[in-house]
Amino acid sequence: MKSLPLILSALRRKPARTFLTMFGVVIAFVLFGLLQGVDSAFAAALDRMKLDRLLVDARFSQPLPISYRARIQNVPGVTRIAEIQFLGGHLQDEKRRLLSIATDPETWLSFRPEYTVPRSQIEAVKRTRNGAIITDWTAREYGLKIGDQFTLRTQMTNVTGGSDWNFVVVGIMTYFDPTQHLTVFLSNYKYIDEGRVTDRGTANRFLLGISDPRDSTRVSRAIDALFATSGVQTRTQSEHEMGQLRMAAMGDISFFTRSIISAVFFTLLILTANTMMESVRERTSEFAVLKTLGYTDEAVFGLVILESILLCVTASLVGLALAAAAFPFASTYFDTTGLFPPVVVAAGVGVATGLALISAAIPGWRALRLKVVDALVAR
Amino acid sequence: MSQMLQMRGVVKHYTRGNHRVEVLHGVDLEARPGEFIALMGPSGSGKSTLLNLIAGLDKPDRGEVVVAGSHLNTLTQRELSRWRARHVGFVFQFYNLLPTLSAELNVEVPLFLTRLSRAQRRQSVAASLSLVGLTQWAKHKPQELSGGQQQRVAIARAIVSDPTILVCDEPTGDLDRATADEILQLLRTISTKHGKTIVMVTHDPLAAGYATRQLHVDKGLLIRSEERAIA
Repeated sequence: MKSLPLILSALRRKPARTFLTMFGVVIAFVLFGLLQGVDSAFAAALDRMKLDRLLVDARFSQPLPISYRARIQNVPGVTRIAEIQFLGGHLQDEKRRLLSIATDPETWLSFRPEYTVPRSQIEAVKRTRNGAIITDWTAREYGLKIGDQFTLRTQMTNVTGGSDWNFVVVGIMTYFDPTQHLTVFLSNYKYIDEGRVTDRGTANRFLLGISDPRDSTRVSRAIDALFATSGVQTRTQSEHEMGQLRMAAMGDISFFTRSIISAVFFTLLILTANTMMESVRERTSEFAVLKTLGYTDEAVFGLVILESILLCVTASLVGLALAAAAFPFASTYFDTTGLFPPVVVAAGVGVATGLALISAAIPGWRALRLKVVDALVAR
Repeated sequence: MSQMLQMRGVVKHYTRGNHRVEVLHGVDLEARPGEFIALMGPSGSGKSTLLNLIAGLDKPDRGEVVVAGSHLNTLTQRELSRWRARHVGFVFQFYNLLPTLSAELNVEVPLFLTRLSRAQRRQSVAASLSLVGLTQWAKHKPQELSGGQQQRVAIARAIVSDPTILVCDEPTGDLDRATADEILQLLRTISTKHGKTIVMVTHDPLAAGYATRQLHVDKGLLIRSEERAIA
């Protein structure tokens, strides 16, 4: 781009003004990146919570009889089911909790494609009664590797009279988002259920898949109807619905983020438009000289537009880079993935370009319409 | 090309407020290639208007302007811009350099409009700066240069694209006598050694003395022409 020196020269003309304007844009895009990033991460999380994955919980805090499993499986539309028993505890440090998901690990993993486990390790947990598939983060954090044994100290009494549960690591699962500190591990439901003293033959939850996501409401109602007159009533909902309810409880995130971002960008638009207007007004004679030297009206208009784009897009990229760097920390407050969504970068650059075009439209038009003779006489 | 410049019956009006003022009343003018013409006359006589018409910055209301074989009346604004880039070098009274660019980048600005490679552009810039004697000042910004040096940079910028005609609007109006003489000598060299046609507006009779022909403009008419051989 041959005319780049001209554009850079315009930006260097008033370095303090250019720096302050860019600083304003950087700050705005840090805010944009973080807020939009959280919003997108929520949306992505919600997207991962599938409509075709249903969760059956007890309507009131009671354990669900395991006999429900067979009845639920017979409901038309249900394709597969896994019982889940949660078992919380700790290894060495009481403050650092681990959660065992006692289930049929193979079925559970078939519901969760976001986890990757080698096939051989799934076979290993099926063969090993007290086998555990831990997350890669847990493996790193506790220095565990395949073949290691560990003891989970819990509140649940087992048949030995104690509440320590022994496991052997047979697999390590990798979550798609390496920034997440996932403190869960998979174990065999039978090991927990047969080893405990109370509530045998029950589960905390059933996780089931259905053939058609559009059928989720009908299937949910059919399951709940099955147990409407039972001692333990159920409440069935899709994972997606559950996610929506959880997010609704936190408030309308999208509304707040968009309101804040709109206000920030409106202010920013005034700032950048003012900068461009002043910058072009000061350079009236320079534009007249460029036109005298043979630059067409359109070329001069293009220079103003490119100057504005360079200013806004460069600053926005700096802002978005800072937001991406800060995102893993910010995301912990919102319980979202720590991966900065690439769509936010694309949206940010798009917004910055739009901002640049709007800011430069009027000054660019004035530069385009500038009559050389009048401008030179006015000097 | 027998004539570099031909103006026939050129009339130009300007509107000031509600008044339409005729600035040029049917000017006829011809210039040969390599001629160095000084346009003289009192303020408001129409010499700058004449210069703007020759440079293709403005169009006449009536009459014809032919420069370097191009009928400027028939060209659109965009065509005029491209024509100026190819054929006209412009030197202003107040230099009009871009303050944040070095001398060499200022000289390179007209070449951004060409298809020349970076190396070719740099070569042309170096040649122009050498011609005006500013090779050592190439990296300096305008504010680091004296008035005379700045005007030399402006002349280098005007000649860098090898234009057919050089248009100078009071090029020594902001300079002391000694520096003005240096600049005028430089312009005369460009005219005699490089065959460039130069049209220069000036109030200064001493400056006009460097030209091969002096044209006196008054009240929108060419009233006198004095030709002289360069010593």
